[in-house]
Amino acid sequence: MGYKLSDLRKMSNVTITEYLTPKYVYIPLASGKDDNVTTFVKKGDYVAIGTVLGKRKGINKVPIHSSVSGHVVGIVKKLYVTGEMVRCVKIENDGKENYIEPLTKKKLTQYTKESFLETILDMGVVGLGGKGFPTYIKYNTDKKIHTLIVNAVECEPYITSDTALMMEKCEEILETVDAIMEINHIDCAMIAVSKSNTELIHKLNKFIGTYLNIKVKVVPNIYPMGWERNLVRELCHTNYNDIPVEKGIVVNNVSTIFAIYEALKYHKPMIERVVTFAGDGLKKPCNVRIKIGTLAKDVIASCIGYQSVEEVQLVAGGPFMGSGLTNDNLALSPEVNCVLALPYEKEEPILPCIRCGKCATVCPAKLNPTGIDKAYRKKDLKKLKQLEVERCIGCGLCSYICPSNRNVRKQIALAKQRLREEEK
Amino acid sequence: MKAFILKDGPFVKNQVKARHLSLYLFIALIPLVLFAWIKNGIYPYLNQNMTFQEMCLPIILILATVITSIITHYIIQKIKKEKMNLYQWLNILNISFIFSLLLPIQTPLYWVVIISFIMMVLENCEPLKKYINPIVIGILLILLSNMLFSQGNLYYNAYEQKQLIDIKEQTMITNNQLSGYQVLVQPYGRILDFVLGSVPGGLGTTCSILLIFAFLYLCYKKAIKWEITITYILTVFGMSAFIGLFSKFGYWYPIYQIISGGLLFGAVFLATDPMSTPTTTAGKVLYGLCLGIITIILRYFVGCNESVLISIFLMSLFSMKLDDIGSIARFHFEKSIPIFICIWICILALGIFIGTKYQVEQGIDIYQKRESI
Repeated sequence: MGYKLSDLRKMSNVTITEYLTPKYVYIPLASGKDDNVTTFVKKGDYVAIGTVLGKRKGINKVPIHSSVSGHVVGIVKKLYVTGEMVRCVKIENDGKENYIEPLTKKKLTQYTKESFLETILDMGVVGLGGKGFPTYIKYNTDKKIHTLIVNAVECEPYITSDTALMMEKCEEILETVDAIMEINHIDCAMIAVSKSNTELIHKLNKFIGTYLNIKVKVVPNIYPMGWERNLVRELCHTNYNDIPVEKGIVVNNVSTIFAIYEALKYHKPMIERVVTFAGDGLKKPCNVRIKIGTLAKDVIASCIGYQSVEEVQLVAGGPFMGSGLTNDNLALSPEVNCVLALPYEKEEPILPCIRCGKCATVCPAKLNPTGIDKAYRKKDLKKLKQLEVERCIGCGLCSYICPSNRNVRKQIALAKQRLREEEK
Repeated sequence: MKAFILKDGPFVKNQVKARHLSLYLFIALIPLVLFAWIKNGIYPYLNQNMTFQEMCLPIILILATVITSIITHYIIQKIKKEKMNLYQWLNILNISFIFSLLLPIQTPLYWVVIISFIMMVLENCEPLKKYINPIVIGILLILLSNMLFSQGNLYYNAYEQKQLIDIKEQTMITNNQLSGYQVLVQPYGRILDFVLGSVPGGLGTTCSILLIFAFLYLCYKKAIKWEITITYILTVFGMSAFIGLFSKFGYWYPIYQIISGGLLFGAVFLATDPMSTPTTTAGKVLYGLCLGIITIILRYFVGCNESVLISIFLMSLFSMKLDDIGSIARFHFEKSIPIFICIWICILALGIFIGTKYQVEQGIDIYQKRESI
């Protein structure tokens, strides 16, 4: 289930520009909403590329690496992908590009499953689709993994970073997928591409010939097709409870596969990523390869530029699930796949619900938002549980489609929060 | 320095707003309003079967409803100290159009004004709106008042009264739906007359072809809960096809059941009222199925002319309950299967029961009778 977003424009330019020489980087000591990180550096320390700056505590013990070489200026607070201020390690880039360990070329297939897991953990590989989920957890299972799904479906409109990377590094990505299959004894791999992305389908078909167990799968051009659960349902015709590995399926997006490639091939930590800068508020929207910790402001100033509009809405992430930002001092972390600048348009008045049922029709999680809203207002927790409000993924389609201009997603999030509080 | 505006996501919005949905409904109603005037006023006047005053009657009824509704709503908004927006204006226009199109042509003007006022008061009662459709209540009040204070069939316009008076004397016009073609269709012409709308009925409810176009237009614009219309019509069609099969009627019978008695109008404009109908797909399908069953029961067991209005009134009381079933069916479809099975068995059993147990009223072929006279 989902909705075809025909009226939202996609950026046509899918080439990648580079901005790899920021004067300062601000590396967030956080991962998603988890900022429980132990810091290993202090002001004045010299760090090389790949120096571990901090490590997340608990099960998600993924290290955070320095993306530049230089001196630590201090620990400062900067705007993060969630729209909140988090602690960041500020490093002055000396431009020398000193690695903690020189990059050496390795064979992708030399790894055992254990060394594969160890490498992607040590290199700090996390999901680059927006949530930053540690990749090693997906593969660290005793269960037989039979299918690897490579998510080349951009999760939201405007975002083209995965397409751009796939177009540029198609051979490397296919080679990595093949290696991951061999290391983890995976039977088949599917590269999911949106039906509308004809250029990418054509490119993949050109290169895929020699990889017999990798298939290109064309999926409907609807939002949120890139959502892991939708993709698994569409390609494997199955559902899961928490993570797809329960059913022997692993889903990685293109950027994550490329990060695995760099980790396996060069032992290169995850210090770079491709970010889409898009929206009508920007002069030259494009995809930019950046160092983790670069400020969005610096990237925009150096290679993109703002349109001459008075008021801009800045978003970290896509137009549906992204967070609104108060300024452009955003520290680009692995979770940021897009920075969107949209000219501000005056909002229409919010009307009472007309019970048209459009929100229920489009909901990919099969929720009934009008029923949830009613139960939340009545504080009927039993009903909220019955309506399975927990299933909401916050895709925002309900708010998008609502003809009464209501922020339905916000109401559902409140209901979800209320239920969680009660269950505690 | 650029100003950054902070707001909650999503940061894109669909361009189709509530006012657009109302506008699409308004556009779909315009041809029916014109038809109401042409059929009940202009056409008979041009054929010199009506006086000028009689010709103006349909438009006077429509205008009386619209003006009363607008004034009432305006006053209520002033009392509530709320601002009127374009959506509300269009919504009021649509409600008054739908209400006026259902009116019997002979309804006294003062009743139209009084009941339009009541209807608008109900429309402004937020909690009630989820359980009742103000238009249905309004029309039921009109019919009740007609039943209590008037005599004769108020659905016939002056022209139809003159035309049908002879037929009435020669044949049986009956409420028994288990009657033959001669009784059900022939007094008013042919099936085609029902399709084109040249038969007695509410002001603008008789033209099936216009109603089908209106439905298709609203579906194209995604401005209607089409699942209700389709399941309602298919249920009535299926059950009457069963009944027709057992009673040895022709193919015309199920078609007649759909295009008569204001069923199409009810299925397109009343049964799909967003406020008083379910929002989930399973809820909408159940709602349509139940509407069909109640309509058939009222038509065959009670002989009720207003089966469509009464079934919509009854079902709207349960729409919230159906939504609850629909919400659960979205995750656990298997839990809703027994309900669907029960409904389908009910449809089958009712169809067979009515078709086999009830006596068929054959009627008299009026043409044969005319010849013999």
